[in-house]
Amino acid sequence: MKTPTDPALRTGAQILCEALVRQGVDVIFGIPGGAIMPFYHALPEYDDQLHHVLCRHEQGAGHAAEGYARASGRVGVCVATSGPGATNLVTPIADAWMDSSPMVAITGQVSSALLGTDAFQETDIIGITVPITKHSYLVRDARELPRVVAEAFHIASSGRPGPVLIDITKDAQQASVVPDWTTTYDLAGYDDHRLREIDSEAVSAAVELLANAERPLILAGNGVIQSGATAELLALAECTGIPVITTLHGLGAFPQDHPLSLGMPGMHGWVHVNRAIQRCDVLLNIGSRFDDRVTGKASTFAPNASVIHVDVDPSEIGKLVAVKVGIVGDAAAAMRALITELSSRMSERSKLSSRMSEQSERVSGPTFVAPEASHAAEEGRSRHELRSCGMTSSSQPSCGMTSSSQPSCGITGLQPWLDEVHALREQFEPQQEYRRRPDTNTLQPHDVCAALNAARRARGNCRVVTDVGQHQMWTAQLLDWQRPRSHITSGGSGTMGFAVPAALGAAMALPDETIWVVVGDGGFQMTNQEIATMAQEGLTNVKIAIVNNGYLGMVRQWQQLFEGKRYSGTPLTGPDFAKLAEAYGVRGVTVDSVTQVDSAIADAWDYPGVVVLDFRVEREANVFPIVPQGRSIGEMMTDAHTHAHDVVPTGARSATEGPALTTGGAPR
Amino acid sequence: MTTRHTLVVRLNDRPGALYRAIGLIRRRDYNVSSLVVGATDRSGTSRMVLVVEAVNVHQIVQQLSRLIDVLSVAEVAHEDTLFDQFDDAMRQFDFPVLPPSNAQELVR
Repeated sequence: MKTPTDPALRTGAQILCEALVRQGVDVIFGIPGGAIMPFYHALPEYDDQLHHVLCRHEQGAGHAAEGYARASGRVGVCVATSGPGATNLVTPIADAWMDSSPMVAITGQVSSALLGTDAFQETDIIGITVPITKHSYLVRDARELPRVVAEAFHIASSGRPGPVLIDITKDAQQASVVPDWTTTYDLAGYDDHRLREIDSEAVSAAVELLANAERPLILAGNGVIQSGATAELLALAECTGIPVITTLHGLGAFPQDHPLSLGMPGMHGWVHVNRAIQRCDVLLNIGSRFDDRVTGKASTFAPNASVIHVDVDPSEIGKLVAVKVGIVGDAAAAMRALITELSSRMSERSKLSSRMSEQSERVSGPTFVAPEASHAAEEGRSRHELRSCGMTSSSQPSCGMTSSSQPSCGITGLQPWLDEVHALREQFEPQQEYRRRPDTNTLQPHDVCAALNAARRARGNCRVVTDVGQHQMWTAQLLDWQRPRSHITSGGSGTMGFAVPAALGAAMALPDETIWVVVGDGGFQMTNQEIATMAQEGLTNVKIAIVNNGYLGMVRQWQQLFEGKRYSGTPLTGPDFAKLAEAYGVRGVTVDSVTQVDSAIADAWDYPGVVVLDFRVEREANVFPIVPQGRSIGEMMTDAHTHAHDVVPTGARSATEGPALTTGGAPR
Repeated sequence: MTTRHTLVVRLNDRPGALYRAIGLIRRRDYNVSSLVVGATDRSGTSRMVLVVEAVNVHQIVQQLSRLIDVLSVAEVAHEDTLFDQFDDAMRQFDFPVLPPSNAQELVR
């Protein structure tokens, strides 16, 4: 029988703190309140291990946890009280759900006896978040905490990552119990598909398609980055010679200066990329979920392609696009299996065709970049290792091969396809809108992105966090993405207000790196109060570039292009952002001429503190190309002079008839 | 076009498990026309048999399987009789409509 003075007794709040420390958590983002007060009472005891960042709004705490997770690959943790504190977390939880970000959200709840009585600040937060969480726990007994916290972190970070909610009643936080740290997971219903053995039959079927492909294409998404599989992707592309396109969340999964990198597909992707999709005969999707912003009208997407889909979540395979071969599992493991199968098949082929000597019959399989090396590359420490992996020429596959005598998994006969893709690029790249800069002194949004890209090239890498809207697309289009986790944005959910707090989280995770924020004046005004949090934390590594056009620009662009310039609800005023920044105690600078852009970015980079740059840009600049909502990605508008009603059905008009409108591929 | 499908779901016998499973069907605006939930001979596990009117039942099966509290999902041949018997069994719970209770009774 335990006595009240048992030295092993701990309050639920203390157990929760210790459980977080045991999970390796070093930073948590939150705001206290009545139902979570016992946790905050215990927190100072763990001050040297658990750093609490006091945010200004729970939405900020949630996005900060996301930014922390996306920058570091570790689980982000946010904390809120019951009722309004918890409901303010709903948006970031939904955002983490849509973008598969590992997050544990901890909320206080009214005492057990009051559950269901409409008590003060009682909200059924589990009920509210069921559709947007991977799992959730209501904890009424402090003894459950060691198991629940361990399970929550395991679920959040394994398989397809996602948010997990732990709702803890106040009395459970206050109760004194002796914690049992030996309890194990009770997760009979959970399959971590990362650990699943890659189905060899599916791999053989995929290789059969790839080996006989004439126009293959790799589509790489967030799954490659989440899996830490960038080295495997590079190896697969270089071994086979297949060109690679990267989704918004896949930016950085494949170095964009690589000869095999084509760029981003989709609604605001490049014309040549969408044309390549519509032309390809085999599409190998690795870790992308065929979002409608990528596919356009799904029934007309990649009409000539046999699709191979690699995904860690089996429910994604065949969800939106009919699939010839589905491979469930970890992206890195799947790509290793594909390379092994491809190379053994190709060596069989070459043996048959050339009756090679005994020596080459003893050829062993390729060796691969170890997962450790892959993760190191992700952290940016072994860029040279990645580079040494055969970047010399796309036609000389060498990555992962121990010597040049090893078999190649190169697919023969791809040259005409590579030539075609190259020709598409040559044809459409000069037409890109930003290359036709209007002859005016007015600052263009493209100028900001181009200057940031140039500065980043000159200074080495930085992380870039974007919000949602026009600036997000310009940034995705105009910066060169070389490294995984260097591009952080709200993709699936499209949450305005994401960027500033997410940068706070990224800056806490990576104190030695510079975090650039590119944000519109609309999104900035949703969550800029987190600059006060940055100031309180003494952060110096966040630099904020506001692309300020006085509009909710993406909606205005749609109104211009598709709704007869009926600018309803989109013109937007704001405070003097430079003065606002100064009021927060950080530096603020207004930039309204092209000639100041480079020096403003350089000065901000060098300044030892948070900087807000208010770029007053051309008010009605547009993002091009654009696929009108619900249309095929073969139908792109490349400038404002082409109106939506001019867009003709896929395949009905050839590109030569009108350069402003491009079509590609026949409908399915 | 919606069609009727009978699903058998084994799930953890815990608060919230049923809510998650049924909520997933509601998200698609599919109707659950019949539902039976009961304990199994394995402690801590319950079984849910439901008839859902769905356009894409495959997606429902896949997404149900993804839930942490769901142990297995199977679509079985649709047997109306199962639910006919169930309806018969439920008739014993049909009561005449009671008069509205008054506040005094509630206070007692």
